[in-house]
Amino acid sequence: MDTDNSKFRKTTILIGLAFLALIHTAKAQNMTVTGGPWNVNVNQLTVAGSNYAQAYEDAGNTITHTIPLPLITLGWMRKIHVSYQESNTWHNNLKVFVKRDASTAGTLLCLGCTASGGETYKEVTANNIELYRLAASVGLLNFDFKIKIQLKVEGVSVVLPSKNYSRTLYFTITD
Amino acid sequence: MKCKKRYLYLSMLLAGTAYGQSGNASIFLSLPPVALVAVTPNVEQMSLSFLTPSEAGAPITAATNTSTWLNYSSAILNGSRSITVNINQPIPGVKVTLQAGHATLGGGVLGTPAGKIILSNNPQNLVTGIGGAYTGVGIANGHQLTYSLEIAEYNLLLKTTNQQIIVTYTISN
Repeated sequence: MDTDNSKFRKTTILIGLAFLALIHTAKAQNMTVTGGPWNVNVNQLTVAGSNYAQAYEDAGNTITHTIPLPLITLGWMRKIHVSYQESNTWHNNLKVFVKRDASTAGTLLCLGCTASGGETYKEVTANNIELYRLAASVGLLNFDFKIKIQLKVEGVSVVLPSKNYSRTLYFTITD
Repeated sequence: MKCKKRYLYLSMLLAGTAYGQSGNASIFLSLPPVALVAVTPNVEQMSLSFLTPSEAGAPITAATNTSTWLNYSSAILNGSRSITVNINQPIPGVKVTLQAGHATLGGGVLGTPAGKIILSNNPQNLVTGIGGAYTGVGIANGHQLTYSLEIAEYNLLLKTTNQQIIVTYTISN
């Protein structure tokens, strides 16, 4: 009888832990990217001999990353990477840069919640590069990091073929 | 012991599933066709005057002007553009010639000067092979223009006051 109770208790604990772990995992690895697309507003040329301004920045509020913290947080850390996929809808002279708005991080509801890195522009390539990290020491309440992302494009010029260009950036969250 | 194994399996299972999800964001950029041409400095008039011969039997000396520059901006999907030039009316016995120098500043596929041409009512190529390019703005940018006033036929010359001609530059595909 004692053995049966013990087995039942262990099984219950096991299922409970599995459930909590699944919630933790599902929430911790989730990231939502909202906003966009960013339509680069290239200045119109009116003076013969002139060229476009070669760099353009978005206002810094076009793209937002929402990353939920798990319900119970202990020593949590995640990395956010960025890359693009090669396509013929872009020109290699056009460089894309991304940075994190340094003012968006942390909360009073979470001890040691920090965002680090990515405060200066990093060039996006076809290979994943780490943009920034999120960390939390201890948290007991449901909380979402909301990180604003700023974009920049360089290399705009009349030298490029006149047509429409598009590029998709991929943001990935990992342990 | 069995229970520990289950924990271990569970941990491995969760570790395996705990990898990144992603989201994406798009950037759109539109570069329209551009075809702008201008002569700089933006003078409305320039004067070319023959020099009176100082000695009987000497020819009338040609007059030249090199004070203006041709600036352009060109954005194009493919192919190339040319700049043509023409005047509204010829002057009997006189030829007005124009030559564009080579552009060195700016960027892109700058055009090639066609050489010295005699201006007429018919548009003629002055610069060809312009791709996506910009010359820079203002004097000393783009192609330096050399206008010359030369005698074509002495027997057609008429004593007259100033004759005004209008020079038109056109950039096109």
